[in-house]
Amino acid sequence: MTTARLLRIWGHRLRSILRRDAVELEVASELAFHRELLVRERIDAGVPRDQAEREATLVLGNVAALRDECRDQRRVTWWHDLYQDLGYGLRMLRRDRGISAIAVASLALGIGATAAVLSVTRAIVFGSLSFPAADRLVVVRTVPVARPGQESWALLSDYLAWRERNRTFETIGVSHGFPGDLGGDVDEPAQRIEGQLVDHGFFAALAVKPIAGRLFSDAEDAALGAPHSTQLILISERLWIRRFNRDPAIVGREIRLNRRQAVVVGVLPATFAYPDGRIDYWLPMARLRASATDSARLYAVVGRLKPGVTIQMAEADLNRLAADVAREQPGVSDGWGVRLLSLRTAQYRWAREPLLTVGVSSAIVLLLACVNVAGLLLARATARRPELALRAALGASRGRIARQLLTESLLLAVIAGGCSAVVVWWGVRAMRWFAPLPGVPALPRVGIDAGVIALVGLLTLITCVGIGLAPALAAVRGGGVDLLRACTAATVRRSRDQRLRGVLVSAQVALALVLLVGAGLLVNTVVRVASRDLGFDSSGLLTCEFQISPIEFLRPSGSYRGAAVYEISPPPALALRRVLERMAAVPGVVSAAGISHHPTNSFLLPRMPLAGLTESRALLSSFPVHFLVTPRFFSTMRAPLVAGREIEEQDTDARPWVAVVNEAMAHRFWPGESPIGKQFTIDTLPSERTRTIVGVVRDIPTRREQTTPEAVYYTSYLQQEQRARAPWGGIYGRMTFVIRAAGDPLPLVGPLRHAVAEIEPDRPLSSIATGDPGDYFWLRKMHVAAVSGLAVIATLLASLGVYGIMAYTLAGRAREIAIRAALGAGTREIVRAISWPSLTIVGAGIALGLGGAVAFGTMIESQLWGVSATDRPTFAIAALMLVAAAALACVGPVRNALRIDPSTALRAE
Amino acid sequence: MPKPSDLLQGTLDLLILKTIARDAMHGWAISKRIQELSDDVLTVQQGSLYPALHRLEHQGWIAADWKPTDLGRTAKFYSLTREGRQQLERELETWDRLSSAVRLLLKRA
Repeated sequence: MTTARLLRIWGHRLRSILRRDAVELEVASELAFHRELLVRERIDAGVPRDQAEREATLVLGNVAALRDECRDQRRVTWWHDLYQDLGYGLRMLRRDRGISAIAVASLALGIGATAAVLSVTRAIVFGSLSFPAADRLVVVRTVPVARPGQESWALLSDYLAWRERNRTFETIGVSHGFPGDLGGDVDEPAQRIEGQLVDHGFFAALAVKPIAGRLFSDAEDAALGAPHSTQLILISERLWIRRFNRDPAIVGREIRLNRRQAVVVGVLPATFAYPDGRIDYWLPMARLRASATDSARLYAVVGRLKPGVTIQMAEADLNRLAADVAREQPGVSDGWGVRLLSLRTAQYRWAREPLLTVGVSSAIVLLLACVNVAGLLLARATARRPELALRAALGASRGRIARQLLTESLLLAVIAGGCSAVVVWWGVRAMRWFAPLPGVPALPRVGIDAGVIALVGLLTLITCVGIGLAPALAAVRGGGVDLLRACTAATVRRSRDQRLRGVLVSAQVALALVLLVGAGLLVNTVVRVASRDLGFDSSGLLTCEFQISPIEFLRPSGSYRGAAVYEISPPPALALRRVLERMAAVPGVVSAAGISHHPTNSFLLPRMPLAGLTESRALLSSFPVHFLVTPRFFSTMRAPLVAGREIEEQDTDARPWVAVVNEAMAHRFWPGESPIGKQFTIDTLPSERTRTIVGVVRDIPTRREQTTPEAVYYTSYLQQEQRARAPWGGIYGRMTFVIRAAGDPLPLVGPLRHAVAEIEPDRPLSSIATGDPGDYFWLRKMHVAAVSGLAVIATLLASLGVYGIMAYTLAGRAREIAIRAALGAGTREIVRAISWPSLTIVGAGIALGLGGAVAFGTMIESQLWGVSATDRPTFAIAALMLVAAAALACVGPVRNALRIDPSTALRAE
Repeated sequence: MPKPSDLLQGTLDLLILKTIARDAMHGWAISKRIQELSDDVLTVQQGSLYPALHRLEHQGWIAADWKPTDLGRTAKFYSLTREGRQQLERELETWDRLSSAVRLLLKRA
């Protein structure tokens, strides 16, 4: 087809659509001209004028039909009808404004929530990762071959071997979390900021370019073992703006970090977010190279594969290397393999479960809203049967009628799709609150782009078909006669429409139940985790962290059994003690104590082998957890001792070294015996002294979600080695303070900060938190709130569906009720008689929903804690809630039905 | 007198295209010309003529123009477009092939 012809055809068609009236007028005038000539021809042949007119009319036949036929030839009838249908649909929507608004709102919510989840998912799976050629970036983890589920980071020695000997990486780098204290000055108090120790390969692999200054050079990277040389530092753009006010002379400026001067060599762009966007500074790792024999898997390795190398090839390469290393240095890495994750997987793996859960919930709400609106439209179609029947009888084709009904669905769907933009906009923002754990980025920011619009369009289309199909099918079923017959009230009740509506309402109840049970299980989990017995009294307790950087007190002093050993000098215990005493003196503080890590919220805890009790070559995770505590720690925590006493002031270095163990440790190492008086020795340094157990404390979970308690022992800050073995030397300089307040601990935050700043201007308090379970909820379980909200909406929609069918059924049964009442039936009998159908509908829905709920529960099983996927009480409560909601929805219609005056109802037809 | 519906499918289109090949004409003139040229054998009813004209116009084979007539009022004059002229060639060829095939069959059968 030539372009000219195409243009001509489209010009023609557009004119027919847009200038419809003008075109119609032209056709009329063309036919009138024809008629005029016809008449003139007759007159010329001698026929009188009036007879000629009559003959012409006869010859021309039905002019209106001829005009229609011409219009058909122009192929614009379809548009013409659509125009009519749209007008009609709009009038219908306006007439039932309330119902239309509910329909549009619920559809918009379903479409919007689903589109938001899909948009974010799309951004995660296909979006760019803000690193050049990010598809070649991989993160290297190590896994014990025997337990492939236990992913760890890498040993520094592993990394060095990989870096020297791999064949598949273009560059490979390493980083290690290293939070630090930015010194205070006149305007700004000291501040804890997140930082990383990195090597040269780290920046090379991630291909980052500084926005000012330069990166570390290879030489600086290699300048190891010079702790007193100038400290170089790279800072983030964020810190540069926030703290240094975009100082143009930032490069070369000296800043104070961990009470040492550091020279800024460059600024990294804010887009550089690895592993997350919270990192504010980077230091060269060189000085840590001395501890290359560290036995801790603490190092995050990131690499850029050579072009064409797959993850599998690189994984095989590193695994081969790991086997070589294990042969060369037995005892360190044997039994460990390597697992490679694409950077994308490593960053967003955590989001899979919340996204899937919220996504499925949104889709259920959308489906439910569709079924609900389909029910409404079906009811309307049934009410319009007489009209439709008439149109059918007058020659409207079934397709034409079905189309008219579909136009209404289209209208609803399109309006809902438009409104859903608001939901999408909020949804993608709200999902950034699905807060990840530290070390992974938040969900990416998604804008409303073409892809999102296409998604909404697609969902709208699906919705349109979803809500329009049932009513349209119901309308065209049967011929005109059937339609006419169906008009009479007696048959409406038994009609198949009614049965179909019942099925639709059952489906709504079922879907709502699935969501209610899912939400119930998740809320149950959160409540159980949040309110679980932690083994101490968390109300009125404030925790905050304080740290003296290991740089300040660890001096390398040889090695022992392959791991670096440091001398602790000067011991930070004195400084810590001073801070603690100052805090205890703040008015409102009842008592204050300290512990080396947060007791219930720590990711990496020191685990120590115990001489004679643990196998030295066992997995690290099998060693008991070691906490250092100050005197009176347990009484401040109000953690009850099961036996013995707690660690006291009198347990000094000169006295016998003591320890408190938890019940799990007592049970593991001394089952059936009292552990009081038993002894153990930490097997890290030869100078460790034997400790005697003086008390047993109830289990305190080291993570709130922990189910099986771990073996834990507590020793005193006052009874410790003067040396420490890598990698745990840092714990001697850090303390999590636990502050017991008389009432609400939050007002104490300001005074406490102030008190600490007085004596330690460069070392701030950080991670201040109360024991309030609500914090836990908002930090970790935002998606549970989303699912719960969706479940509530689903329940409302389902009750609306029940209400609709009840109101409709009872209106149809007014006559029957009137007869019953006239024959003397009491209110109770009537209620029983008319409630029966809705009971069966709700019952069927619940039976169906229970099945779906089991499936949903199984899907979210891994997110549950302390509650099984088929938790009977949750199922029962959800079902009862739905029944109650349905019953409530029935009250109105039933009351109306009972109010009917028998004589009026009987006379009505 | 055969009704247009008895004409072979597409024959009416061919007749119209051929009739207006030389001059632009309005509907009435087209029907008269067909009648005249066929010695009154073929009559095209307006019920078929106008839908056919609109169809051809919609397909881009013919174009319409409003022009004044002798009667003092304007009428819609149809003329062939360039593509319409090529279409006419094709249809004539098809028609020739078809009619000679039919003639051949009638002679030999």
